[in-house]
Amino acid sequence: MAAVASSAGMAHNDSLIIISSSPEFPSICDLLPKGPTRSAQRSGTCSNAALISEIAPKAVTPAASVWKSSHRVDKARNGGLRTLSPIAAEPVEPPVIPTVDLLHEFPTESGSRGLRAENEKPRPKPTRTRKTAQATSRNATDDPAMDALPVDVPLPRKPGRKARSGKDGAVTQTTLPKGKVTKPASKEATVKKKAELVSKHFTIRDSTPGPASNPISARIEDAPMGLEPAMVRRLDWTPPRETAPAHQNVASSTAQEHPPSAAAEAAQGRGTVFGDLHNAYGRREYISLHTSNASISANPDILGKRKLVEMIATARANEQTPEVSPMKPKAPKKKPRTITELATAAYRQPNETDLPTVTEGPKQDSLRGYLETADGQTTAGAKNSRTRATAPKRLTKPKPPKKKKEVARKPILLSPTSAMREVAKQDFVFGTASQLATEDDPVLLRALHEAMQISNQADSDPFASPTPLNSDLAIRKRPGAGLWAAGARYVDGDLLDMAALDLTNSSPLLQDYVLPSNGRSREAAAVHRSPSQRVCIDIQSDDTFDLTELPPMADPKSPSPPARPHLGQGLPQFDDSDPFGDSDDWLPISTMAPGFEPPPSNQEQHQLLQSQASSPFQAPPNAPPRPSFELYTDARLVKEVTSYGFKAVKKRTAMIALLDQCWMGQNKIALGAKTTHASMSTATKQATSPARPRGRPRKNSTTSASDATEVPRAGKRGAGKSVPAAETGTEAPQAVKRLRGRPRKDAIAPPKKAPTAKMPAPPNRALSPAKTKAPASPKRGQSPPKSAALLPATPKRRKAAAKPVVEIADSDSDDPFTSSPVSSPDRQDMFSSPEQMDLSVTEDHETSLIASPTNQQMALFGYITQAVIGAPPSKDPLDPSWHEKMLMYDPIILEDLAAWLNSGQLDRAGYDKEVSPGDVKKWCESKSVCCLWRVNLNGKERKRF
Amino acid sequence: MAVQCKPIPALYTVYILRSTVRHASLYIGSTPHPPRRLSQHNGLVRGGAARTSRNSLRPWEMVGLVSGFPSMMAALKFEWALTNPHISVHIPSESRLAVSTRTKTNGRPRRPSKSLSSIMSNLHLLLRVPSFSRWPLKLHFFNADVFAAWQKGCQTATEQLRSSLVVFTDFEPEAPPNPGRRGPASEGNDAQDEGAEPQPWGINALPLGYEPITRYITKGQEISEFERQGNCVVCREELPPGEGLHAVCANTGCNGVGHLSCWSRHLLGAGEADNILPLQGRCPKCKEEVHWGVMMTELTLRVRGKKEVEKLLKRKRRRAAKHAA
Repeated sequence: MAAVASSAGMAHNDSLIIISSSPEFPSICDLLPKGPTRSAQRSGTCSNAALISEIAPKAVTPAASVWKSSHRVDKARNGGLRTLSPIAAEPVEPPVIPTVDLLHEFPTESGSRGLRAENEKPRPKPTRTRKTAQATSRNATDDPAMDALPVDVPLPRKPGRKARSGKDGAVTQTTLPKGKVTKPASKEATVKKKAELVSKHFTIRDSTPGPASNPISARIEDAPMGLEPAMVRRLDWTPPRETAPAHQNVASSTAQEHPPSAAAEAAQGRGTVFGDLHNAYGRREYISLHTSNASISANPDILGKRKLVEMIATARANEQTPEVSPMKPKAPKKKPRTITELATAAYRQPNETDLPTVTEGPKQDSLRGYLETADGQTTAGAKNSRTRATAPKRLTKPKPPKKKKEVARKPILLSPTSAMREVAKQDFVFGTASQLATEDDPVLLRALHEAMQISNQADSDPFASPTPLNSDLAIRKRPGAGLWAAGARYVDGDLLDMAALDLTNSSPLLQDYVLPSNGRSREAAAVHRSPSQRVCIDIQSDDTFDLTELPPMADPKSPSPPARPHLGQGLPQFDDSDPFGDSDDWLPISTMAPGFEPPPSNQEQHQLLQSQASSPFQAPPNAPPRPSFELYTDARLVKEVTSYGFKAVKKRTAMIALLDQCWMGQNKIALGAKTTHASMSTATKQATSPARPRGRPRKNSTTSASDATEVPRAGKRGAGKSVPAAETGTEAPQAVKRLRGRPRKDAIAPPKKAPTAKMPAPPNRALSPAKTKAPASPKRGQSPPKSAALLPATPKRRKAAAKPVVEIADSDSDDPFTSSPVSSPDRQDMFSSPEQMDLSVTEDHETSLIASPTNQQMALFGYITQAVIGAPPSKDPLDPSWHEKMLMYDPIILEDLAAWLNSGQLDRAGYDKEVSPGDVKKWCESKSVCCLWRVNLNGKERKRF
Repeated sequence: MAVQCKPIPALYTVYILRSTVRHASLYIGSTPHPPRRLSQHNGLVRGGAARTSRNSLRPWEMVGLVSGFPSMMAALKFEWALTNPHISVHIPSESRLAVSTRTKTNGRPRRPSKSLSSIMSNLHLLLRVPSFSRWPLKLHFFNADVFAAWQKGCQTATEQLRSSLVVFTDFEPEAPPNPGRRGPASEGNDAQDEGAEPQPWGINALPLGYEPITRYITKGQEISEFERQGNCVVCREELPPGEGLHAVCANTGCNGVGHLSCWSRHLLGAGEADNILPLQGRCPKCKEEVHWGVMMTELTLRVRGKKEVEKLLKRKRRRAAKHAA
């Protein structure tokens, strides 16, 4: 139908052009985008014809109407501008009818407007029909479709309004529809002059979307713009109105405008009756109107009605062309954004990529968009109100720039803790967060790295920890202990053992355990996300209990083991790696802990947040279990905890407890003369964490003095706080583990340990660990002294505190790091391989060359000659024997010949030793045999001779 | 072996290049095609060495060369040894002539400056060094002055060259058109080479291809093709066609074929049992002298150089056809 109509429209246009003698309209295509804007009057006819052509197929407006319209246009030119609009209205009416039909047929396509229009249809239809009926009375052609629709009462009102607005219509009283049309005509008349200017703006817009879209957009725009309030507004808002009328001139001037205008009139007539409908429509369709324009309240009904009616008309028009429908849905989509929840909008938008303009905004929003949505909604809403009033396209355009601006804003917003919390609430992938953080914030980057390390450590720690726990606790104290006890102990063992474990477990056991444990831990972590708080709390509680409970001096083992498990559990839980149900047991304790904010889903983000804003979180200072750590500032405590490889604990008490336990472990090591363990662990740990090495070396150097002091303290602490037990437990397992672990380190470590342990008085320990560390890993060599420094820190709390804290953190961190098996073995391998390589390669190329053969060599040469000559000739000419090769002056590859000689040929000749390629070379040169090395001087294998 | 050996090249030379402008400017190189290489040095063709690119020293001339290298690698070895006599491992330390008095920045001994006499003496040394002494090398001189220097060097040398080493001289024909021949034993196949055309001289007279031994190649080809090997001339055992390497006597009219090892054993004789490579000897069948290098050239061509043989024989056949016509 459309094609036929268009063809008909073309014919009409031509005819019209001829009649009107308007040279400006060569073709419809030109007319659609540009024509309307240029001259409303002249174009009115032609454009109307074009529109008719489009609409006509449905309405099947007879050619006679077109002719009438054209005549009227001519008359209007003569008579006045206003007449034009009513003339145009006549053709418009038929199209309106089909549009209604279309709406019924395709409710969904039109989008929200279309739907609304459908819903509204029954009521507005009668209005239209009435208008049409009036029109029909005057114009029989237009009616048939209109007649089908039910006729409503409000008809009388409409004409009244029409009369108002349409003083124009009064001019053309002959045709009521003209009067209906007159309102748009009046718009046109007022706007037309301005329209030309405005039209240019629109022309640009129109040109871009395309001819078909242009009329649609214009129609849509017209609907909101053209309504009654336009009179007042027009004065105020000349440019936007102009734009709308310009469009009207182009597309709707003829057919579409009039029907909507008529419908609007009808709506106005009913306005009292249908005020609710208008409000509902206005809300639905034009949120922006409600939000932005508060002043409209009185008029909005009329405006809204008209607009609504017009919107329906536009929707109809849109229905005619599929392109119109997408335009409309854009607006509604935006609306939901504003209204709907931020999170939903963020998710919806990426999914809804239908509209390019709309999608652009959401895409940007999706990742970063929480903040944006909040901010942008207001701005977008305001913009939307404006833009929507003008045109949908405008709405889309302004948004993206806003979004960009918002994006720039976002990082700023993200940085504060509140923003982080919000982010944490939602599910982000780490990558997204990192992308957000990316460029500008060094703090974020650091935090990311730290969090990554911590997470890795955490994963690794639980893995590593089990092995040491089992070995230490189970073997020595309670071989038959339950899994729970073992797990708890193992956790403690991790912390305490970590130093020892690193040395011992670096080798296979850790890896073996780690691999399965990792999977478990991950799964467990996935299952138990909430516990992050739990873990923290647990740790605190455990620490507190342990510290308090443990008798200071004596009770070595019995008290210590429970405390250890608690710690260990707490630690792995932070890491999210607790495969076992330990966390559940501890849950009550965790609940005890007050102040944590558990971001449920994103632990990583949690870590980031904590790392970034760890200091603020740590606020509450609790009872100080041990003097040294208590004095530390929260930041220091956090650093220490992180250095040990644990995630930042919010509560200070928990922090202190962790540090104490770590310290305990170190002390135990020291007491056991296991500085080597610490060194080993530290070395591995250092490797894992790049940043740490920096601090450690300094500390080591500085802490040497403190180390001496530390030793006595360690003793004190051990006595006071069950340290000895832990130490004893850790020591023995460490030795065992060492044997298991890295072969080299073990070999190196045990001797060192023995001397260090024996030698020292505690002060020496620091030195010894430093030494031991150095061999293990140059970078980390510094770390062991830190551990030593940690111990001394207690007496000289502040001085030592800063240093020892860091040191302790390092040592502790070392443990988790060491526990992470991957780094250490790899490095070991790396170191080991080169040495072997060196040994293997020894070949003297030039040494063999010059020296004249000795007697031994002469004897050897004889054997070689015999072997070569005595070898049987080959049967294959292409694969000659060595002798034959030599006879043919072939270059001989020394390695091959030597290998051949050593493969038993010399034995046959009576020479039971092997020959080196160098000897073979001398022999070849003595025989004038051309010989070569397999590899040329460039280190490449020869490809030709 | 992975690396397939090519047949022994028809010609591969290590040459001594001297600037005609400044005789003290000397250059040692290697090439299978001396005329082409000389044109490169003189800038007539692309590819000249940078050291010979100074126009002030051009044109260059090849005053002498060593031919008969059994392979490119052998020629390169000899070239390097002759260029770096002060560090070549092929020269026993007790007999080393060139001694570097300086060291390069990298600590390695610096190459002593070359002179015609030093080159000649080192050439003489290298030709008698065990690494190269048994190669089928031939010496060519194209300049009287250089030949005189060679002779002088031979006099000063502590040891004598092996008697079988042939030295050819092919001076510029203007004064005496007759090319002087030096060398105790130059007979048989060598005679063909010497017979050299009068017109081209020097490097231009050198045979670049296998043409000099075409008849020999043809004979070997026929023998292998028609399986007329018969029994080994040395061990008298039957020579199964297609199995093993069978060397053919180089002398025309002699169909003596034998195992490669048998030939070598025969040619080496009892006196050189500990050597691998024979130099020359007399065919056990025709009792004529044969040169191991020529025999190996033919053998490798027959075994490995199908392409070269076809190319060579096609030419011959065409020529023969023309002559017949």
